[in-house]
Amino acid sequence: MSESSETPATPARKIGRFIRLGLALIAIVLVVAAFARVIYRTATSGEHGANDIVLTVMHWSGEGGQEEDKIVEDSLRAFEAANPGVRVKRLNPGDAGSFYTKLQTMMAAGEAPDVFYVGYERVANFASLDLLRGIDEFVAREEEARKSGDTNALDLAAFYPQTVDAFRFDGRRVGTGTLYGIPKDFTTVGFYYNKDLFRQAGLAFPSNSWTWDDYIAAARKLGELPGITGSEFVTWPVMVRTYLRTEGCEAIDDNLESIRVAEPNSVAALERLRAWRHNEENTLTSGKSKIATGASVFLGGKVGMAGPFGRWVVPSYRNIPKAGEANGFEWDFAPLPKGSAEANCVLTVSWSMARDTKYPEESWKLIKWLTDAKSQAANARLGLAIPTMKSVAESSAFLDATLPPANNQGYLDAIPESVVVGWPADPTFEQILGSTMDQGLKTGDLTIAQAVEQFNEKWNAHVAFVPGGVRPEPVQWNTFATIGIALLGGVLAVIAWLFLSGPSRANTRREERAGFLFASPWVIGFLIFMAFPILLSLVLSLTNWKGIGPLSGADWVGTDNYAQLLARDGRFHTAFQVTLYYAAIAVPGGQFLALLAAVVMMQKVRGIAFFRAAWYLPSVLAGVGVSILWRWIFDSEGGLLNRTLEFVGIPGPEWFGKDAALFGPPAFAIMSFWIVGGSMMVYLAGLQQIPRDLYEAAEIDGAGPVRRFFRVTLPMLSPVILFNLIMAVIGSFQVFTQAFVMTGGEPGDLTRFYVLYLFNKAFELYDMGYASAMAWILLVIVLVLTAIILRTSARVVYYESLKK
Amino acid sequence: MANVTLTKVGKVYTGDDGASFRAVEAVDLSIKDGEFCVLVGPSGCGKSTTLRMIAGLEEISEGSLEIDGTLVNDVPAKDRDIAFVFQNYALYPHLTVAQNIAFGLETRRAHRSGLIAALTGAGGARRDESQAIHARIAEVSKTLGLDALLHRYPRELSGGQRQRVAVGRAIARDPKVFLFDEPLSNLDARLRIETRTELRMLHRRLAATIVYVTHDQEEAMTLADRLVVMHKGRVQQNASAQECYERPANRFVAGFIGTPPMNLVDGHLKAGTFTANGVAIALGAEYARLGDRACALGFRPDRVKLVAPNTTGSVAASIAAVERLGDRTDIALDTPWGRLVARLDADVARSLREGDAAGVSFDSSHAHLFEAGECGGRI
Repeated sequence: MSESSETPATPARKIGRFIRLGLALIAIVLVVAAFARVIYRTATSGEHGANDIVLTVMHWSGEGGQEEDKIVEDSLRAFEAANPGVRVKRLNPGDAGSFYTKLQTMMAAGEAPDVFYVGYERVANFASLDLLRGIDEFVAREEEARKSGDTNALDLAAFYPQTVDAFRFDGRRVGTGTLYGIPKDFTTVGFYYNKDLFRQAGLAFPSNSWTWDDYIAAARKLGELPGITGSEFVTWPVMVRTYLRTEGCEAIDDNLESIRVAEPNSVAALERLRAWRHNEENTLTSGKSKIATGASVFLGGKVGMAGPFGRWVVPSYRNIPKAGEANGFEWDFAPLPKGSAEANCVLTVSWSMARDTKYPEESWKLIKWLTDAKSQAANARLGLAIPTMKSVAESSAFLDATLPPANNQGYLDAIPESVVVGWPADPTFEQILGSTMDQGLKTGDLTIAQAVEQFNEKWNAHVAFVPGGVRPEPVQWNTFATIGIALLGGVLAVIAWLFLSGPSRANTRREERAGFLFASPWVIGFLIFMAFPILLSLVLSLTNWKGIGPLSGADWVGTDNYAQLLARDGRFHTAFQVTLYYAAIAVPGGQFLALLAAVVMMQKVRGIAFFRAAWYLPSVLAGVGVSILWRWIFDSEGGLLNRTLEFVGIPGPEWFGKDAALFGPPAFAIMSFWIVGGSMMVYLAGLQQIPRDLYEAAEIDGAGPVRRFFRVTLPMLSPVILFNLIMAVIGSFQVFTQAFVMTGGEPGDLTRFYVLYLFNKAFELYDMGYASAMAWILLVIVLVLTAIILRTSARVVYYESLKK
Repeated sequence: MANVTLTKVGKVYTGDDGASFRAVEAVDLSIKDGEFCVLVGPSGCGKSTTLRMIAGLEEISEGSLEIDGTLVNDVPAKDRDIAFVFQNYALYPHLTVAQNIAFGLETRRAHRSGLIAALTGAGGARRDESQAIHARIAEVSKTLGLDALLHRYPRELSGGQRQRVAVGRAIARDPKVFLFDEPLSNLDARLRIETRTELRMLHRRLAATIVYVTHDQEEAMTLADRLVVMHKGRVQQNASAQECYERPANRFVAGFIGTPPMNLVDGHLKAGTFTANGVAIALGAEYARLGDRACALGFRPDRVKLVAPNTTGSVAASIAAVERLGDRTDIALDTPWGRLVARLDADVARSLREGDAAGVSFDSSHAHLFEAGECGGRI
């Protein structure tokens, strides 16, 4: 042995040694580089001094993209330079959705950023959850400083008053009370229109004071052009409310307690809108869901107008080629038409401060910095929004004549009639209003009167639900901690007992110790990352924890969440029905297709490996991108599927539009058929396990291919079928990504799958306790279904080793 | 029952790369009604392929196959009215013994009662038909002693029981021809001998035409009315077991049939004297007419006599191994002719010890001479 190690290395061994050496070197370089980065950061931060104050700032960059990212970054670095001793850490989780999810997580962990964006629609909610710090004291101080001649002091009067009022909240309604942030920018809304199409239709361009009559006349005229639809009209709750205000109606009473859409003039206005969409051909585009809302519809040049949108679509519309170029056209903006009244809305975002920030003074300085004229001017270049400071909005920073839209003034002209659209602090209100109005206006399967009735029903059920009664007790976390520690102690004791009670020979003991050591990473990981959260969620399901503040704020509500879910929550029942409907198609259909594909893939054909791989491939593709592609396929206008159906003479449904109740869940089922490759592979493995001579025996026994399949293949495959079936049933209750990306549960709640509603409750409506209860009910449902399948299958499933 | 005729039957496999391999070549075989025909040969000799071609599990590449005078080359297996017993029995593991036996019967009934029944395997059957099936199962299970096992599943049975179920499934349908593919090879030695006898008795009772494949020449000889020895895809000899033993048609058959195998020595014959490796033995005057030629000399171990060393007309040998079998003893001998085996009466061999010197002699009237080469013909 020793001799061989001294013999000269063979070439192969030499190469092996080189590779090992190379890999080791790479590993060392990577580790050193990683540390060097940290060390470098620490060292460079040393320039600022080790005792620097570190502020955390979080924002998003949705439509603004990387450019917005850069503007914020530059602004923050300038702030650091101007304020020695303060450093700013910037977080940007992506779009607004990811931003709020991350914000929630950070707040729940008690690690909220110091300064962050807050949209006007969230202010009431956040303030009522006591997450924001009121800034009145700072503003008052600025006022005094200004009076004493400080030119740098903040002057609220320099801002459009509506934008500032959007962030006042008095504990009940938005618009008055404590100020919770300084608006960074805002927008009014209106319609974007295709000038080329207007010229073709012989229409005059809309003026800044046009009316709904002008609007609908233009839409009808445009709709007469071949292949053109008059207008896209989005029916988001805020737009519906603003539309109502142009007819002199208000959707909510002043106390934000009930809706007033039931009033005759409201119903009339809404019925008019509904009729435009549903009773006329080519006037308004039909129900579009999340992804294909206006912005992208307009880009194609086949829609005359799109709106009501704010300024945020401008960056993407600026990419429309100039008129005359391929797919290019000229476009502009017109503010919201007038009805019996003039109205518009202010949609705005503020820089706000966390209630628990350790550095309120520095945070205030930063907010001031980020909303001053210089920062606003820099931001205005994006075209994404209107500066909230009048002087900046009316300067060339915003009124840039070189870039479309030409009618920048249109946004500003609408400001005097604009008001903030305040929402009740409970975001459920907006959500229910949105989903019921969707069914009235977008899918049209309800009349306005029915939609209003449904809203009242759902909202009243929600308001009536006060978990834990009027004065719930705080959760006794100490008790649970004690129980938890006792449980953990018990588990450790059992492990110790197992360890000690076994055979005690020294080398067995040593092997056992090694075994436990090797298993310990998993065991520890399981206890911390699986067992603990699972048990915690069980406890949380009995509380009203919001998921956005610390756990200590949670109250004990007993089984109220469960009772509400099972007995009274209409949205929950809808979600359950939608999921069942989907499962009823996706599970049997998917298994049938998978089995069929597997049988086909068993054929001995040249290149069969390629086909197997091709069938499996979709199963490994990432969910989000694929979902977006499928959204396009199901697009009711020009989508691949409907085009194909049209081609063979079948009028395709509006999958996620007006036909969503019937066709929405099946659309997701059809999409799920695309990824049967995983099941197919399992079936294929099962088929290959069936001995060939069984088929030969059956053939000799006189069985043809069909009988061989039903009498040999199916029984022999039955355990595999059972496995796949259970997996598919479980999977069908976990549909999330597709629905989240493709429809977001819309329209109405017609594609709101179980888990989507769970997510909605936990992360959008901030009711983590309720969502935890849903998770446990889901577990029970899946367990029961699995048990039923196992029970009923015992007679037909053949187990090689179990059946006695 | 029926006779089976193979005429110039061959099997050619063609690989993906276009290269072809000839597994069976020009097999002529005529199996009479009620005959027990055994195909025997070493593994890879083409015997199983030939059997599977008769069954219809393999396509026939060349030649023709007739069952009962009808050309069946293109008739699918299920319509050939044959039964096949597989080496590992191929019992349906999800069915009980009774259901296994009934499977073929039901299939045939289903063919008559329509597609729905064929799909589901149940329903639509006439009562008397299912009674007939029950009666048949009872009859078969009684014949094979399976009564107590009818409601068991295959995995609950011993190897011998499974084998009997496989046979039961075959005979239940009363087919024209029974095909057996090494049906005993998964049994232990004692059970194999017992079952072999039972099969022989069953054959007599059923008077069935049987084609039986085995690699075990002893099993082949005990069972066969007709023995077909195959090697390298060709039939080497087609005769009764006794004739194959006494008058092997060529050197391969001589070496394959008989236990222990025949001693075979390559050498040269001249003027009635056989010479190999410089050691000559006079075979006798009658061999003189065979002239001067290279050939192989064969003589069976039980024809060998051990004489004192250096006896005239013997080959010098030393005893390499002594294997005592009770009534007789096999002696392995190292000689200038290579390793030879002698089978002696136990009494004769009692005093022999490993390492002893001896002389090998044999009765030249029981000597066989073959042309040189692996399959050299009998001279």
